[in-house]
Amino acid sequence: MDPLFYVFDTLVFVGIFALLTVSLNLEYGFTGLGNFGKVAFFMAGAYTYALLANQQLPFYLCLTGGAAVAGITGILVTFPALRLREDYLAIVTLSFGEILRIIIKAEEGIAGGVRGIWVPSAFAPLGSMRSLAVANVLLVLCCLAAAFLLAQLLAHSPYGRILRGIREDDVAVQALGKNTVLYKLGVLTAGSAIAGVAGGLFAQYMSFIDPYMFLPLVTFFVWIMLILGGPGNNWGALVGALLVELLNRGTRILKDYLTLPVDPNNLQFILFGLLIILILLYRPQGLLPEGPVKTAARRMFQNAPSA
Amino acid sequence: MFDTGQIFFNAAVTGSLYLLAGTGLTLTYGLSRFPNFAYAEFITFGGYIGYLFLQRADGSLPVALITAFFASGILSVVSYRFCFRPLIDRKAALIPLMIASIALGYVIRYAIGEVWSWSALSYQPVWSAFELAEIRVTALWLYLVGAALLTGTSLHFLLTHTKTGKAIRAIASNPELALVSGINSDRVILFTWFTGAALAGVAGVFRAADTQLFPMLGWDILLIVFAAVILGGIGSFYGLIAAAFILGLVENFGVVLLQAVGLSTEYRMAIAFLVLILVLIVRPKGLAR
Amino acid sequence: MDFFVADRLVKNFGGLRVLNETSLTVKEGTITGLVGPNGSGKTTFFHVVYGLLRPDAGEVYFRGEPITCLPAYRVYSKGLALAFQLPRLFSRLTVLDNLLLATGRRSGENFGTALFRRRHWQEEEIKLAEKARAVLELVELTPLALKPAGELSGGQRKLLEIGRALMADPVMLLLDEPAAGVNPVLGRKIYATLERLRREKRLTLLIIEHRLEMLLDHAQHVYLMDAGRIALAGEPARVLADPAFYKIYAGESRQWQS
Repeated sequence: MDPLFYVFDTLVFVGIFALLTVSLNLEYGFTGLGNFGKVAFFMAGAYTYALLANQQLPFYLCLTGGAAVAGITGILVTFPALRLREDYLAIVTLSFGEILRIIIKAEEGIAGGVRGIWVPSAFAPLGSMRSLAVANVLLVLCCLAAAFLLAQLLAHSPYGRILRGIREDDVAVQALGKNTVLYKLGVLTAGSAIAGVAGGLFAQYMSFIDPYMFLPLVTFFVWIMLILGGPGNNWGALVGALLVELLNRGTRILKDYLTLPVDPNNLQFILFGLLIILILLYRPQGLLPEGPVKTAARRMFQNAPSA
Repeated sequence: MFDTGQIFFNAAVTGSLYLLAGTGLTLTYGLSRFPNFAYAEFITFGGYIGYLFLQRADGSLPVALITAFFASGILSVVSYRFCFRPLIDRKAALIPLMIASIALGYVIRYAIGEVWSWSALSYQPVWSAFELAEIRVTALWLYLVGAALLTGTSLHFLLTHTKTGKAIRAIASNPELALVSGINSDRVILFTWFTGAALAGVAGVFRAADTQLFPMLGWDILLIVFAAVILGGIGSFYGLIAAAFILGLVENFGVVLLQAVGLSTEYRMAIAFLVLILVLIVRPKGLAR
Repeated sequence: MDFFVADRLVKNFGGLRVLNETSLTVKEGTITGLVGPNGSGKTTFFHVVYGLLRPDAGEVYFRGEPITCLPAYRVYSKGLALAFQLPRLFSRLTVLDNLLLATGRRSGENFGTALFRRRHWQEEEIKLAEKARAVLELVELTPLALKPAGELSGGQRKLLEIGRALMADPVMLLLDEPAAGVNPVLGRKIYATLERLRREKRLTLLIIEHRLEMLLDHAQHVYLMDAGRIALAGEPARVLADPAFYKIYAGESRQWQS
């Protein structure tokens, strides 16, 4: 296996997962919405991309379509979110993901059912596997940069301040004149759209998707990345995605080079599980803790504490 | 067209399974105030421990059930003591507790996969099947329904006539008041965690006996069990009884309906989820409240 | 036209009637006190008026407009602000951020402006920060500006809660025990400021208060609430001198009716 290709492949996956983690950070890290159905929006984006790409549409339209469908699905999820307690929301979003997967599995007419669907790449044939990998790295990183910028701009703005308020005390924010429903709607839609973009990128990179690639496991991986990296910190989201993906791949490589008494695949999940529990116990803020809202107001007070 | 007798009986069997699996979940959810996703693994673990006694055709079901009962109970208490209790002491919020339960679930599930491998295993004993008033019945199913009835009556007695049972109800409705009333919350909570998971372990044995044994055994039915717990009202055993059987009916009628209409039976899971989502949106407190 | 009118509000919690046809009016530009023994329904009254609870019967009018059953964020937009009895602060946000959240409509608060009109809302941030600075000075919390609100003491939290209510330039302010837990000198200073705002900006205040001496000094009108109803009303001196006043406060009154 070409080591350079492997590096590019890793980067693509890190980028895709980082997109998902950044989106979850917006929903949970800043706004406190426990979205356990992330994979549903990922899947919606992936399948939309697949269907559009098979109609020979250019990749940017397919990605936009994926984002739009995922975003609309996000709006569907928002309505229960408004009235539900966090645990109910988690269970509802989890179930929603499963329902979507069941529908795609059962209805072969939509997208091949269990047999999956082939997806053309975003790029015309480039000559080598390596060049294709590089192209994908660039594409994914571009999308990631855009999403990251969006998340940072929102987080460090009056909008972000309100999100963090909603996270702590929704009623108090309402008492201050903000319609919290609109904010939750906005965040879930944006988060879902970003997940949809990630799904589209994933679909065209893998060239083939089927329902078995969209198990709740994906959602949990994203949560692990966010918790490890630091909820409420966009850089933390990136770091978390990077570390978890590296750990994931690291254990797979180990299998080829070491003969352990334990199957590394099983060991990997056992260690991940224990890691998360330990983090929640001893460092719940994650590797990169949340920073304050950074706006001109804060700078003013930092520079001149009193008038 | 519909063999209603058979469907009702099947619903009773399914409902009995959900009742066994869900009792612990609803009680601990009500007491400790978070949904424990690792419950799936308490179910699965019971199935695997039971396997130790049912690997051979002459294995004894009662022995398997009793051992699974204690094994899952102990696993649950250990989980509570080393994972959840420390988090609760640190005033962890609801979502971190949930995530910890999911993480713990992974640890247990993959440990099981490591020890027993990920291939499906089968219990060897065969339970006799016969016809009872034109309804197809197996001895296993009768045991299951019997176990559910036993659980129902014992728990009812426990909750209404014993100190522990009343303490459970007190803590579930008002933890602070219960504490100052002199109830030893710790012991009651541990008892509930033990017993609840123990019943889940028993459910695991029955489920494995009825289908196959594999590490995703518990997770496969977890969301439906959650549906039953929520439909019945979190913390309400009596609500769960009703909800378990309602869902059993929905599922079994659903399968027949789907086949009649020509839709894939995969959708039967989707029906359960839809019921769950509808309940949460329309009547989040469930049936009992 | 009366500035603020509550008309026979009723609120039941289960079998308990907490508001039993509560009615009162407030004149514009006045400080009105709402007193009463614990459990008489004063805080519930505020929550119902503000849209945090729905009344079972009755109406609320503000500047001639009915505001009954409006959600809280709409009530706020009409010019009413509420300072809670138990401060509902955002403990993970700084004191400054808590104040900046309370500034009423401004740029940068929706998706579009946050992303695309950055320079505009940053400028507004600075202006609002100046205002926050003034409020911080007033409640003597300036050195704590960048500290998370969760690190404040009980009295400081109360001050921040009041400061937050002031940031919004409301037309009418509902204050729930503003001086509770605050040292007397600072309490007096707060009331002096409220008085000044009343005169300069024609701010109307309805204050739930247990410190009766504050009301004697500053309020033009007082209502005594008991078991969900208004039992006495009038000038503070007269109400406080009424024999029924002490009877009610001492608890020899009716219990809540079921």
